[in-house]
Amino acid sequence: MSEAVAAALRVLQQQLTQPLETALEVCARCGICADACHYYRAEPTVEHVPAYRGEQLRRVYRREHDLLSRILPGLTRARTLDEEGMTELAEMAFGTCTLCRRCTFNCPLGVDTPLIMRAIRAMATAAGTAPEILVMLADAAIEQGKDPEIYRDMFLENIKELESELRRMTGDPGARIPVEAAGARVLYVPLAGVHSILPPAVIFHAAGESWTLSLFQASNYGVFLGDVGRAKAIAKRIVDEAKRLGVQEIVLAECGHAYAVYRWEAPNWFGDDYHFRVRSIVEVMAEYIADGRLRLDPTANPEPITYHDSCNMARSGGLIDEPRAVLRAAALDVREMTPNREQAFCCGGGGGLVALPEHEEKRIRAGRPKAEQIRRTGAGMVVAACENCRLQIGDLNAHYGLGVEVSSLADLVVRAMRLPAAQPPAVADEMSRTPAPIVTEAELVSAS
Amino acid sequence: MLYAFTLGMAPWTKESTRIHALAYLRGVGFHLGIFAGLLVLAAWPWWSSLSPGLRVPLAVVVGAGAVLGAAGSVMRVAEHRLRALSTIDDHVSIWLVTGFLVCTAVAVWQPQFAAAMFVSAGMMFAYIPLGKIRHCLYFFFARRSFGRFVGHRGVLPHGAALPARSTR
Repeated sequence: MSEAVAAALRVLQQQLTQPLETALEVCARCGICADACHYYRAEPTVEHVPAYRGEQLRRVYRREHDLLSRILPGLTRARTLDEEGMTELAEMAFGTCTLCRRCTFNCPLGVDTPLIMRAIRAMATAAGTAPEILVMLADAAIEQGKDPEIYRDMFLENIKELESELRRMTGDPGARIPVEAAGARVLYVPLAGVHSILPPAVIFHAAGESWTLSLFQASNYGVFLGDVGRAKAIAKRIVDEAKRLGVQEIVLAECGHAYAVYRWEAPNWFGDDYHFRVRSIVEVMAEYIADGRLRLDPTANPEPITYHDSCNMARSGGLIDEPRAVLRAAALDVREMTPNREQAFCCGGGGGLVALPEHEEKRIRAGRPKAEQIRRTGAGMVVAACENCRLQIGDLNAHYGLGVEVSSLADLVVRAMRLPAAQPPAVADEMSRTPAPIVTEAELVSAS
Repeated sequence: MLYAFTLGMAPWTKESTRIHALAYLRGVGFHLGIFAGLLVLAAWPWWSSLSPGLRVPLAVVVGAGAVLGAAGSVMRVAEHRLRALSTIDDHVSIWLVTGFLVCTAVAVWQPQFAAAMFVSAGMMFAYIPLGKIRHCLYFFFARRSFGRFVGHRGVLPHGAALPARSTR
């Protein structure tokens, strides 16, 4: 047995807690999950049936852990893991599953196939067969946390430029984008790029919020690798920053996986150290609107708009009603896709797939059910509260000729604020597409 | 968690069971047959004292379960997607359970076949820790995990309030 395979099997053994064992044991192989998967909907082959995918790890698990399978492997198709098998497993877990959990919700037994896929991703990371770019991005984020001084000055300089834009937009010469301000109530954690900083800054300013901007970004590539060690190290940067600044609340940019991680998983990693509230900017906007701190004019967004539920936010996060409350306040004509909410189809960009050029073709094909859903609504704009979803829907838009505009909720809200000195929408849109002046993990990788 | 074991399993809550209504109903019928068969087995010492009003429906449910179990195995062979998913263990498991249901249905009709029912039940129980039938035990853990996940995160049931603070 090679060292890589041994490492993968060690990780499988470590991950074999009760939920994973249950997911591996409980499947009755009825195949009823097939149509729940967007990959299967786009290409109905047996390889795209979630139960089949899960079965690929079950075969290895049985060979290692099941008495009958050790004696008579042919009875259960048990398989000894080798390097070729590990490569196949990695290809499947990273390339043909977005961890969207739609299969789990549609399984009569509730088999958690995404948990199995995450275990495979963790095994592949240990075996060195995980996509290199995800490993690099995760490691760069960890390095960034160890020594933020490397880029702090550049970051602050960029924020200064943004601040003047904020002043121009709001018409308030005193408007600020505070960074690392101790004692602020809210620590806002953006993504890489202006588009995830400026609209929330406008919103915080309008609501009179006591806030400060994080030095770090919300994205967590360790999660895509299924590597809890890396994921925790990346999350720790923000946890430490929040503790250092003494904030009461962490507010996350519109990012699906960051919401699932920081809201639902990180509390288990950090225990009592994780004593602050964590919300998405989506929830905060909904609260501001409900409290009258944000006054919106829905006629500013008169075109038909549809909302895409990010899997991490809706199905894995419970954030279902809040974005709809924001949409109702910010737009005139909101149309639901069918199915929606916790039954919404994945756009195909989840699980880190938008970052993997080697799987682009598969990703676009798997996005066909979502493209068809969007087209059926007749909407001219798709709003998504997740960066990866927006990137994927943008690609689907180009590939399938949907003719839609793709927007974040915060952008929509800023438009509905009808700021006296705001850019005309076309210019504002152009601005949001401008490459980010904020340094990204990818840039750090290339710089190093 | 209550939702996961009750309404959360209802066919109308799942798109998959609406699309595959026939396969779903076959599965439900098969498993109802199993529960009825186990009930007959447990009640056998008092079987003759039970009223026919109870015995006949039980026998019908067990018999229907046997037919639906056999149909399940046929489906696994006939349908290409299920064929690719299935293992020998799946067929062994289905036939062991179906055999138990057949023997139980016959024993209900002709009590002198009770020995066959006990033997088939013994074989079925012996196979539980070895093969796929053990999913009957893991089922409870899977539904509990699902219920905890969707309940804690406020995903389901619809209208459930999210916890105000982010805690474990």
